[in-house]
Amino acid sequence: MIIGVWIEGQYLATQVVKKYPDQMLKDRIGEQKIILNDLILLATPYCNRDSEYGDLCRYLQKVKEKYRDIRITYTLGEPISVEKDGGLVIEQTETSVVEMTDEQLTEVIDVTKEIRDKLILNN
Amino acid sequence: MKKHFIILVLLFTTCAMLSGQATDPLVSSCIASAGPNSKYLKDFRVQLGKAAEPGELRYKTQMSLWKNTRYRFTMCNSDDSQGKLILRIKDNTNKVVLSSFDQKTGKTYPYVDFICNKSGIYQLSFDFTDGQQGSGVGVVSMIK
Repeated sequence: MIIGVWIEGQYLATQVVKKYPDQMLKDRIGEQKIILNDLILLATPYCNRDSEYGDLCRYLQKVKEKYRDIRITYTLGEPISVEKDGGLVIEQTETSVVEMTDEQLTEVIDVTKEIRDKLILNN
Repeated sequence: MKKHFIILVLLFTTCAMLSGQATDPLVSSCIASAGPNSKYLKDFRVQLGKAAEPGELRYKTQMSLWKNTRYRFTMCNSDDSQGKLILRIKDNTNKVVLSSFDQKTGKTYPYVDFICNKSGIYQLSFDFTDGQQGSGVGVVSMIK
């Protein structure tokens, strides 16, 4: 269920970014590399259950392969805290940066559509 | 499996929509107290007995937080709670990025806004002050 929702969300995001190449959306798609590894871990115990689960695991590996060279780098920093209206506001100064070329993004868009179509449209 | 897959996606979406309509009065009031500019994302219902020894926060969960997003974590307690609900968040390197409890002053904040600049999976830990018995809810919202 979780993997299905993720694939559909990823499909919608990648189709939108094709039409509207917004940088924040591109970053969100690149950042899915973080989630993908966890999804694969979740699916792993079921990969040998039957051929359809096996296919699903192979599809996820295919997506992972496209994400392999997309890098997420981090800069260090200490959080800044300010009290405001009885609450606390904390700004994180550590940042994450997605390094992804347009070609890599296109490959992610294509592989997402390919596996989503296989699952939904049976083609 | 393909039919099941589609049904599961639809079922999950429906459940997610329905879960946004909280039936627990404490959760509902806590969501309302997050403010009009906040968009509800998730809640964590925390019910704990008195800890044998106060120490590590006991209720642990994980959540993905995304950069360029301002989150609001609102903590609410039921009237019969002995302690106040507190939250601590650690990043994937186990570094504390946020705490609603100031150990130096002993002050507990009812809400914490977190301006996230590093996407990742974060560990959220809840407990009641001094490891006391309590019932509460932590609501996560996004500030528009």
